Amino acid sequence: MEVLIESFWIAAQGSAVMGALFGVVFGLFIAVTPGLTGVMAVAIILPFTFALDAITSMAVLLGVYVSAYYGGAVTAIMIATPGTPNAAATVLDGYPLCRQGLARKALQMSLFASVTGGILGVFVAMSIFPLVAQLALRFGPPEMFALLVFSITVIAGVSGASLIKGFLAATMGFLLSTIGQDPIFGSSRFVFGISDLMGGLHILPILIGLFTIPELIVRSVAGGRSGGAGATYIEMGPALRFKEYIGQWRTYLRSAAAGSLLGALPGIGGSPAAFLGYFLAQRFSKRPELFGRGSIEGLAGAEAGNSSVAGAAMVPMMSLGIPGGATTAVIMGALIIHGLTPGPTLFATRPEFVYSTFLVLIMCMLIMLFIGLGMIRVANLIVRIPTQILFPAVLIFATYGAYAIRNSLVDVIAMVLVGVLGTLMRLQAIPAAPLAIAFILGPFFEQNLRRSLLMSGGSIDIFVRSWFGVAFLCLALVSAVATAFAHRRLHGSSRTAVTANG
Amino acid sequence: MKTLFRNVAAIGLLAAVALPVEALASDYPTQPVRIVLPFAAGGSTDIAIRTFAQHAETYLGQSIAVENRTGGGGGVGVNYGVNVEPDGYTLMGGAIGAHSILPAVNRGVGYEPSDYTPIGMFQMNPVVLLVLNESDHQSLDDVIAAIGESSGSLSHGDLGPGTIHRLTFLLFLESAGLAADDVIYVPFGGGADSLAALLGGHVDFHATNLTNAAESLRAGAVRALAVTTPERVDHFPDIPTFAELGHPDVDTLAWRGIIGPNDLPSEVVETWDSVIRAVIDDAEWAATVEERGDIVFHMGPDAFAAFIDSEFERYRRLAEELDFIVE
Repeated sequence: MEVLIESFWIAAQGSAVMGALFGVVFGLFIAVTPGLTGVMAVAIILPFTFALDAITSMAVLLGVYVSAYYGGAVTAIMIATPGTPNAAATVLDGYPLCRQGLARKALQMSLFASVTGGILGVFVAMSIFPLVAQLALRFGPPEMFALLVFSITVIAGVSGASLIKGFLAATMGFLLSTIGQDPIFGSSRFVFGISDLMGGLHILPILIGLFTIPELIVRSVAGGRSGGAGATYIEMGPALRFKEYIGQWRTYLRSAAAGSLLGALPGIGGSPAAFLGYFLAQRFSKRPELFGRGSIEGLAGAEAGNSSVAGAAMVPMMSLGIPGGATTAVIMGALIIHGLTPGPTLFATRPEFVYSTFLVLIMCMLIMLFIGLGMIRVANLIVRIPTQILFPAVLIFATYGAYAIRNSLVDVIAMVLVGVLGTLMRLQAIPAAPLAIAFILGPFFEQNLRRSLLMSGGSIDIFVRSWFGVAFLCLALVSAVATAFAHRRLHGSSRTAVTANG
Repeated sequence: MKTLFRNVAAIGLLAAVALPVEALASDYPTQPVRIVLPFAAGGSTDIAIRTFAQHAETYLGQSIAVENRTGGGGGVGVNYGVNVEPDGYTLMGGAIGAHSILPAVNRGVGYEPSDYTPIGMFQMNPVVLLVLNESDHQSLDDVIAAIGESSGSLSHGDLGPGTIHRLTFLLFLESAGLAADDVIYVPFGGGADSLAALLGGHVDFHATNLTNAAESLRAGAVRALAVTTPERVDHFPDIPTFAELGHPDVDTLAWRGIIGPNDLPSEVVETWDSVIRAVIDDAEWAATVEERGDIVFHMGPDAFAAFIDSEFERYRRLAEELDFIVE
């Protein structure tokens, strides 16, 4: 308890609060810009933190880190462009809500869900800190693979009317994810001598190509037919009611549980947690038919899911010195430069620093809440821009974003090609979300499958040698069967195409 | 409108970056210098280069921006770095994995040491062989015996094929008279997840940089059976060397330094040579480096170039002998 009080005072000092404020503002700015991801935001700001003391520099970095989990939602909702990969699942229901004139409600829901999920995630991380770390270590390649098999069943949940079309899209996603260096032995695959392709395709151009470009094309064509795309003027709509927010408490808890588990495992990151949170919200929803067409529950599930990763992802880094992802790796680098090497000894010798880091994380989320509410007022301006100005601007913005990620023209070309693919898919009512999920999970799936089989010498019983493996494979089976039945109930056997936005 | 302003700002920014660099005046450097790093931010190479850059700024008299260009095991960043304008304002953070081992084991990577100019090395990074602290394998001889009796059921995990860690373990097996397939090999993506695999008991052995393992060693979670340095490391005096345990051929050492594109003006190389010497003499920097488990080690431009050439030849030969080629 004394440690907690001490760490509270460390976190509450003025310089830390200022640092967090600065970090959140900077992070939100970066996150709404497609092409600038959380990792880059943290890397850009890192050198400026060297001159600060340890907790202030942590406050800046964590402010950036936290806001990157949310900021991408704004553009996802307003212009169908996920500002960061974390917001991929936010497009699915956020953008339809915006089109229905409920932009304000969607933006507020995403912000509140983000902050709620985020804070729940930090509490989980803080309270069962050593346990989470030990649990994460128990996940070797076979257990990870079983968990991924379970996660992949969410594809069925976002497949729309036709499961076959969903699987088709997922297959394309898996195939696209194999471009680049083989993750196990490093040989080049589908690179065709283009050295920029060795690093594989980047998720952001894929997301922009899948969600943004088809939207621009389809709506421009439709607008041209109906006599002037400029006529599209959307209202911001009513504000979120407290009842609507609190009514989702189960969704926040489920998403926070999913996000905390995925976040503690190395390398998984925010977007799978968002999809899993979305999927759980759908599975337990009374109105699953609304998902993909503007469900406030789906939006809450996705945003609470990705933000709850923030706390959990700090755990393996703080307790074991093993960063869970690229962003936490940068933060760990900053700590090392400040002479605080994360790991078992840091927790033993400076527990107050570890706890104050978590408290700073909560502080950053609260700051983000207030700044986010201000940002939503500004978002008002976006809906007032006439389409003939907004659409070209979005396209320039998206192209710049795709280029900026790695300063590579290959990413821009990939965005355009996937944009064409996405438009064709849209016209055939093939959902885009399964492709995105498969592309995100594909590399983890492949790596852990192949590592497991290397460990077992090719024998598949390695997946059921541990209880975790058995448990997740059973869950996957249950989930697959339940989803198939739910799907039949929802969509019947009819094959009518639904205008699937994803 | 916000979007529009952002675009204008973005385009302005792009234009600023794209402006032609001023012709090299006699008083290099007149503007900030970029150091392109082929590895991800937060990794051990990144931390090493950033710490170096932080101290080097004082002696260079200009700020230094470290930029991570990752992908392809370091190949993407080096391909970029060897093709930049040789004006001294874009240099590379050099590391063994990307600059010397990768082109030796993967002919398709697109560059060789002759495509770049080594300017100076400032530190060496030893490799250690780790087991869990509670493991039955108390010594290197225990490991050799256990592998011999195990009929291929023990496993080794590291940062991936084509890395110095894999090479170290293969050299060790060869030196011990064992074959590569006597041990199951599980490649991981990076230092973090491969160490996690050892800590979680998913693999039996793990070869990694001493810096990656330093915290876990201090906490007593893992035990280092041997290190690849010729002498024991000052900060970790309990770890025996491979040489003293009878395996002198296991002498792989990673290094970090500054590397530029070819055709650099001699002034740039001279300036950086003196900056590197100044950092080496910086006691604060040296203490930080050694605390992390690295060794301060200096080589000037000529020695560094000769060293990389001989290492490259050695790795190319070993790659073929130990069936280490990546295609």
